[in-house]
Amino acid sequence: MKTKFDIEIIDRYLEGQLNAEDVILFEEKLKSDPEFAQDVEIHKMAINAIYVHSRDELKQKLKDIHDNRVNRSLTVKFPYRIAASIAVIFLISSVVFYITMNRTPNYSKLFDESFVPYQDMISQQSRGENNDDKLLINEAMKYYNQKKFDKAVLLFDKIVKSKQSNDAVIYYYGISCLGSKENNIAIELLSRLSENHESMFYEQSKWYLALGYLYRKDKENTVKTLCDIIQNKTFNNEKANDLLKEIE
Amino acid sequence: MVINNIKYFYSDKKIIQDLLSSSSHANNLALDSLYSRFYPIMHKFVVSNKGTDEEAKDIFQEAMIILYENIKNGKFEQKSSIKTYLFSTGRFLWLNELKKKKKIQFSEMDYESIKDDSPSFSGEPQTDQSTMLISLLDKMGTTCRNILTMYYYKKLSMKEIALQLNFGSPESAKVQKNKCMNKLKNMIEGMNDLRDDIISDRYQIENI
Repeated sequence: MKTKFDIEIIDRYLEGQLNAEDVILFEEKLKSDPEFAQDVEIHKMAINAIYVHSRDELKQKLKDIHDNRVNRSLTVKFPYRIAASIAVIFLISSVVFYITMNRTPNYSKLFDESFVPYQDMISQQSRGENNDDKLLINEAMKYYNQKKFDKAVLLFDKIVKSKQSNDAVIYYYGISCLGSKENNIAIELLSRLSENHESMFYEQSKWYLALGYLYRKDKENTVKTLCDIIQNKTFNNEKANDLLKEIE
Repeated sequence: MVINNIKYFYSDKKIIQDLLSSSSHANNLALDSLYSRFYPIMHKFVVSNKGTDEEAKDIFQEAMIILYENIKNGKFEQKSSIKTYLFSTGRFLWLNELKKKKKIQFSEMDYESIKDDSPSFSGEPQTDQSTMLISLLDKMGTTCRNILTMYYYKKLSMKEIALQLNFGSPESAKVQKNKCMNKLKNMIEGMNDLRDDIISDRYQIENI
């Protein structure tokens, strides 16, 4: 294989990387040496051929891209794979969201199902006496029995403020508050009763207290109170058990 | 060729980086991104200026090649965005084409102003080579073909070539490049000699 002239020099000359002196020498040789001139010509032809060949490869690559990306309607293809992945992720997360939302107990619903106002046991006592407070109690209990809890609450409040209240009043006042969704007052009242073993509606107030926490969506306290009821087998402990299962 | 990741948020800088890279995977991603982002505008331009779909495709691909080569040889100076460059190149090519077809008449002044915007075509090698010359490259081994393409067309450094083609060192890659170039030159010379012989034989035959 002939290796007449230095490839490196010719490359450097053509790339413009020779210093000024060497350029002059090179160009002089071109003029004086016909074989050298011929060789440089062939060198250029070779580079040309490489160029055209490589460009054809690039053209082929672009053609492939075109066929891949541009469909018959000449819009760039929609990246279906990406869109599909996004859709799947979205779908999965909505399913997960839905499931977790359903797993969270619907506190309001549970409350409405569980809340049953305690039977009136005090109205009878005030029959026959002509006392303002007892009248008030009767009035209040009348509304209570009619399930007009907000009206009952107003009257109970009056009774309490006139310092004529007792455990029973507090008890029905608390339940009325639950009924009229005055939750925080209900909890306060019923807690007072449930703390004192001696109080008249001790066991029952625990149940309604649990309901109060339930309405407040206070899982911790609801569970605590319900467990208390279940363990001590006090009023409504079966219902407490069922309710506890719903929550957990 | 299957291209999976479409980077729609390629910056110009990243595109250029990927095109200059010696990794053909990076090259392909960049080309694909450019194609996806800019083909539609070019297509719209050509088609709304008396062009067919096929012509739009050809013009765009030609503009892409010009962009690619000018990035490689350093002529693309990043003074404008790639988008602008591609589009003005394509526009020039198409209007030139229309002029050739004599579909539109436009004044010399219009032509000049467009020409200034476009990249210069000087130094671009002639494309009317005989196909025989190009087929010589197919006759060479894969290694030689790759080295020569990487050095002369992709303009990669000897170091990058050595890494890509698993040469021991840049120096050994350079030696191989020179050998391959010699081989090619010899093939061309042989071809020229053969052509000369044929011509002279024919001359002799005709003169009998």
